[in-house]
This record gives sequence, structure tokens and C-alpha cells, in this order.
Amino acid sequence: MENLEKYDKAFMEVFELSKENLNEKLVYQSIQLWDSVGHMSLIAALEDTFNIMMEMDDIIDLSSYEKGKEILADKYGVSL
Amino acid sequence: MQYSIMEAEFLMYKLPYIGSNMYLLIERDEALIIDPCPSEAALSRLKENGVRHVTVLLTHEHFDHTSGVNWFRKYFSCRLICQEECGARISIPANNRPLVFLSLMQASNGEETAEIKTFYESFPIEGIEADLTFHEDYDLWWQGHQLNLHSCPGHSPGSIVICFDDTYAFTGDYMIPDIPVILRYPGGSEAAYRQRSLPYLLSLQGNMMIMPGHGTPCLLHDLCLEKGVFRLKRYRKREREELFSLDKTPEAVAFYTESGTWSYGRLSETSARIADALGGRILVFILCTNTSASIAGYVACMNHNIVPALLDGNMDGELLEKLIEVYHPSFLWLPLERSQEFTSCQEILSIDGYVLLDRRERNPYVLHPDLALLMTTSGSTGSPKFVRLSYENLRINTESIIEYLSIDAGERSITNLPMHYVYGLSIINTHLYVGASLVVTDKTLFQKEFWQLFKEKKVTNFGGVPYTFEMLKRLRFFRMDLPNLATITQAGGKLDIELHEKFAAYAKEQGKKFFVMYGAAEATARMGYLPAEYSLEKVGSMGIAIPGGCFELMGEAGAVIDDASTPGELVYHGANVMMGYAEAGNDLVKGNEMGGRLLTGDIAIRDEEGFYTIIGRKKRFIKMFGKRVNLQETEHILSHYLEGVEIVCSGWDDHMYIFISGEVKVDGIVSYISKKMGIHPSAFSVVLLDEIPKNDAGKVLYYKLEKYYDL
Repeated sequence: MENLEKYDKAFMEVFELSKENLNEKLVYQSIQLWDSVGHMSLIAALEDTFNIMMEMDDIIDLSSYEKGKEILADKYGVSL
Repeated sequence: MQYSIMEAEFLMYKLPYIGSNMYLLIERDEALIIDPCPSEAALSRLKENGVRHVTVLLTHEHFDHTSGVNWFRKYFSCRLICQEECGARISIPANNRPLVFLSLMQASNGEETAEIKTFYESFPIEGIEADLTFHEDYDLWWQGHQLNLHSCPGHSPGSIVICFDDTYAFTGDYMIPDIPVILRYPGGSEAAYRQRSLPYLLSLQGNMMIMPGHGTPCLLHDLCLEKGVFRLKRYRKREREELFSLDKTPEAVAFYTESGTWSYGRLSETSARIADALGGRILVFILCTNTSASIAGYVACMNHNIVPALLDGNMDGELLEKLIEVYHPSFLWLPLERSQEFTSCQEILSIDGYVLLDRRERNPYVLHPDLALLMTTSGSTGSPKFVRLSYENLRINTESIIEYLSIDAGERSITNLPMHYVYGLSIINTHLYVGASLVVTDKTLFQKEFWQLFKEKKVTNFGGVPYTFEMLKRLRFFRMDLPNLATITQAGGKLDIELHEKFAAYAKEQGKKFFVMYGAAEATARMGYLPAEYSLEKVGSMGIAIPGGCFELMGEAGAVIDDASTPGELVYHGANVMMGYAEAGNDLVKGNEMGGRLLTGDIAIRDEEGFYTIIGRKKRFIKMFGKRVNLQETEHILSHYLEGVEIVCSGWDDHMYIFISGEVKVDGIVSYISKKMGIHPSAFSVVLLDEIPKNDAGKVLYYKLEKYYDL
């Protein structure tokens, strides 16, 4: 599976979304499921998927679907 | 039962400005109204209940007690029963002129404003026809209740007192607590009052509820006759000391927020404004958020003898509606964005994103004089069960926590826990009690702004539930530089041993203090704590009882366990144990039913040195992200969604398994229950079984379900 597909899959599974919901509007607390518990699940899913350990600042910065791509690419070498 | 008198549930409505009371009782398709006034709220309630016949009784002929008779007659067939003098007077339109009446009352009540005048001018001046009148006494059977109507002249010639099942007495303008009877109106007679009515009033007996035509209902035994006035007994009436002394340091900062600060002076002023608008000792629902206005609403209640129920600001609308149905709060203090859910209420105050909505219903539920606060036992299932806490409960527990955590005015905490949750509230209480400050934010640990505030405002302590510590671990908390942070507290469920150890070690290394604590809403908040110096040595233990309290362990047969390391149910004794539960409005009048003793439902052991460790639970609940979730209630909620199948909920802290046996579509179950309870769906799993394992007696064998837990 391509990295982007894996990335999307994590979002879709954790937040029970379909593909068309994955866009720049998807940000922390923009949907009910993306609360602090949801955020924990998302980080866990991304860390498992890409076998990485994220830094605190990045965990907090990862506040949107788009921002997450940037962080993974710039800081963790996951090309999306 | 002492309070079986409360079986019939009367609702009370007020005539605007004058404040005369109308009482309404609905049973099946019949309604009984005493002293009607026009009320849209009452009308919609009658319609909702499909009422067809209304019996109307009048305590006397004055306009403010008859103003709604013809108004209700527009909608229902009403049978009006009153004393003959009353009937004769109200049949003449000129006797029902509101402004004449108003001017009579103004003689003692001060200025009448244009607004009041306009309101009363809208009433048509017309006669009112009685269907049945009587001279001295009249006995009436209504829906199986026995009513006695007894002539009591004095205030007016047509005045009566209505006794309902010997449990309620509707006294009209007599026996209004702390208000002298008025005998000077036209037709009034001091002699008639002294010779006939007063002896009758004094002959009322038993634990009757006095339902006066003005003011607030009270119990007969709380009244005493003093110099001709029925007064609430002094011990009940004494002025209560304010819980929070806000005026000692008006310049000091109470709240730091992202947008500015609130001084204690501002908090004092704002809470006084809210209390003024609330007007007196009534029931308020506060929809809590971590904002200054939300806390100010709570402080207003605590300092002004008003009883709030603290609810989750994000509570599901349907569940909230149900709670309102059960308790009939008079006001709602809630975030502006939720006010549109309550279009029939009148907004009477708006402060900093919060609004005060008047439900225009003054609940008839008598509030026990010691009752200070209602808290939910389970934040999420919307169960109507509240914990009743007294002023003493709050004061004692707050002082005890302040003592063992050494909280002083120099402390500064942050609101990462919700305030409708006793642990979150105890942090607010302890800090405001000593004049310390709070960083008030609704941001979560996963937001930059939270940590910015945390560092910028130099937070000195914070508390968390087990889940908070999971998050902190993931956030690499141990690497953060937080020089001002001195104390970390944990409660809200048993912390994973490994996490306990990590945080205890971190604290020791960094010269900070880490307190593991133990408590419950039923004990106001706190019952036990592990002194920081033992946090490493006694990993896994929740410690000892807080100052002023004590623990004991009880064996199966009820005997106290004296030896170490024998498990038993943990029992707590202390003045912070709640008054009791409330499950309906009628429970709010109840006094202390607990006697300072609480069976916690937790199974614990005590070591040789007297430290307690929780090892299990007697009751069927789990903790989810710090909230207590009653599994039986969850099954009940699910049974509405899934009909005709068997449902059993089980699980461990932070994860619930829903076992279902029967034909069912699994899709949607998790999102339904997650939405209802406001808990993230990842915390639920659904397991379909052919059969729920049970013993011969039909009891569910929960241990047999555990094998599915890792699915």
C-alpha cells in the first residue's frame, strides 16, 4: 500500500470517515470524534503504521489532516 | 415513609410581578388547578398530557388568585369550585379589575412601573362564574384523592384553606412563611381571623406541606408562630456563611484565561449579579464548561444559598431534556450556543458567552435547607441520579484537601478536568477557598495553547485521571521543562502500576510532589491520598484516609476486618459523605440519610502499615476516561435502540464490551452508544454471541465473558 493510502486509512478508521471527508477542513475538534481520546488513537495508529515515535511538539502540532502530512514528511521521512 | 406525602406532584407557576402561586396537578386526563394565572408553560403541559377536564379551586377572590380562570376556560372545560362569598364577588366584573387590586398592593410594595401597568392592563375586566359554591365546608373527591375545602375568613370573606389528602395544605394568603397576614383589605376582618381561621390553621397536624399563595412551600413542622407571624424556624433561617470569601483580596487574580484575567473582585461582582437574577433559593441547572462564566455561575449559587446541579456542557440534548422533566429546574445557566435548544425560555442575563434562561416554572420541590449542590454520579449515561451534597460536605472536604496538599494563595492550577466532575470541581473549590488562582481554559492537553498557558501562567499544580497520565506519557511529558510545576495529583480511578511508578520516580527526581488519591462523588470528592513521600515506596496503593476521615474494611458477613492483607469492602467514615442520592424531584427535600458512612463498593486490602490498596469492585461499573459508567444503565440505554435482543455490557477501565445475543445489525451500535454517552467510539467493542453465559439461576457469568476481551 502506498504511504498516502495508509495515512488516509488511519484517519478513516479512527474517525469513521469516508475518503471524501479527508481534506483541509478536517482539523482537531472539527468533528466530534477528533477529541483528545481520538487524537491519542490517531497518533497511536500513525506511529504503528509508519513504525515511528513522534515528539511531543509534533503530536500537538498535528492538528489537521494536511498538517499531519507535512509533519510526517519533514520530520519522520515518510514520503506521502 | 416520612415523605410519602409527596406522592402527588404539584407544579408551581408564578403570576408575573405580583408573584402569586398557581399550583397544577395532572393525573391521567384530569387536571387540578389551584389559583390559576395565565401561563403558556402550564397550558402546553396540559395539552401534552391530553387533559380534558380541569377542576379549578380558588383560595380566595382576589384578582391575583383568579386571573387565569377565564383564560383556561378558553381551552378546556373547567369546573370552578369556591366559597360562596368568593363566588359572589368574582361574578361582578368590577371586582376583578387588576389595577384596582394593584393599587391596593402598591400601598405596601412601592412604586408601580409602566411595564407592570401595561402587563396588567392586558387583562380583560369580566365576571367569573363559579360552577359550585359552598358555605362552610366542602369535601371533594378527585382522582382518588380526598380534598377538604374549609372556609377561613379574615384576609377576605371568601378565603378558604384546601387540604389535599391530609398531606398538602393550600393556604392562600395565610401562612406565607415570614410574611404577616394582611387583614386590612376591603372585606378583611381581624376578628374573623382570630376567632375562626387562626385556630383552624393551628389545628393542622402532621408532616403537611404548606403550599401558600405567595412565597415558597415549606413543611408544617418548619413553621412556628411568632408574634402573630408564621416564621420559618430560626435554625432553618439563619444566614448561611458564604462558602468562598471573595472580598478578602479583591485585587488578587482568580482566573487567568487566554483573553485576560478575572480578579476576585470581578468574580464577586459577577456572581452577585447572577445570584440577583436568580432571585432566591431555587434549583438551577448549570451546563458546565471550563470557562470563567461557568465557574462564576457556580460560585453565585454557592455563596447565595441557591442549589445548582452541575451537568456536562456537552450533554446530549435528549438526556438533558429528560433530566429537566424529572427535576423542573427554574433556571438554566448555559453556554450561549446551546440556548436555542430552549426557545420557550426567557433570557434574563448574559455574561461572557453564558446566558441565564428562565424556564418560568418555579419548581414545587422543596429543597432541604442543608442541600448545597447536586452532582451526577455518572457523567455520561444521563441517569437522573444525583448525589446530594450539603454545605458542610463541601466545606469539610475542601478544608481537608487544602490541608493535606498544603494549598495556599500562591498556588495556581489549570482546568484540564471538567468542572461537572467532582475531581475537577474540588480543584476549583480548594483554590477559590484560599484565594489562589486558576488558569481557566477549555483547551486539551493536545493543544499548543494549553501548554503555552501552562508555561506562561506558571502553573504550580494540576490533576489528572488515569487517562490523562496515559496521554502525558505519550506526549513525552517527562522531557518537558516545567520549572514552576510543584505538585501533580491523580484520582478518578486506579492508575496503572507502571504509570504510577514512572510518575512517582519522575517527581522524586525533579523535586516535585506526586499524590495518588482516592475518592467518589458520594464523598464530595476525596476520601484517601497517598502522601507524596510514600508514592514510590507504596506503588499501587491509594494510601490513607484524608484528615478528618477514616477507613475500615468490612468482610462478607459485615464484620470489620482487623488483620492486614485480608480483602474486604472499603467503608469510609467522614463528614464529607453525601446526604444521599436523589432520583426524583421529591428527593430534594430529604435530609441526611447516610450518617457520615459510605460503603464504597470497592474491594481493598490494608497492609501492615495501614496503607490501603484497591483490588477490585463489588458493583457493576467501569471507569471510562475518569467517568464512572454504570453498566446496567448502559444496557438500559441500548435496549431502547436494540429491541428484542439480549444485551450485556462488561469490560475494564477505559474499554467496554457490548455482548449481544440475537438477530441484530451490528452497524451503528457503537456510534449510537458513543454519541449518547459522549465517549469516544474507540472505547467500545461489540461481540455477537449465540448465547450469553449464565448459571442455573439465570445470573450472567461475567468471568466467562472475559475471554472475549482481547478481540
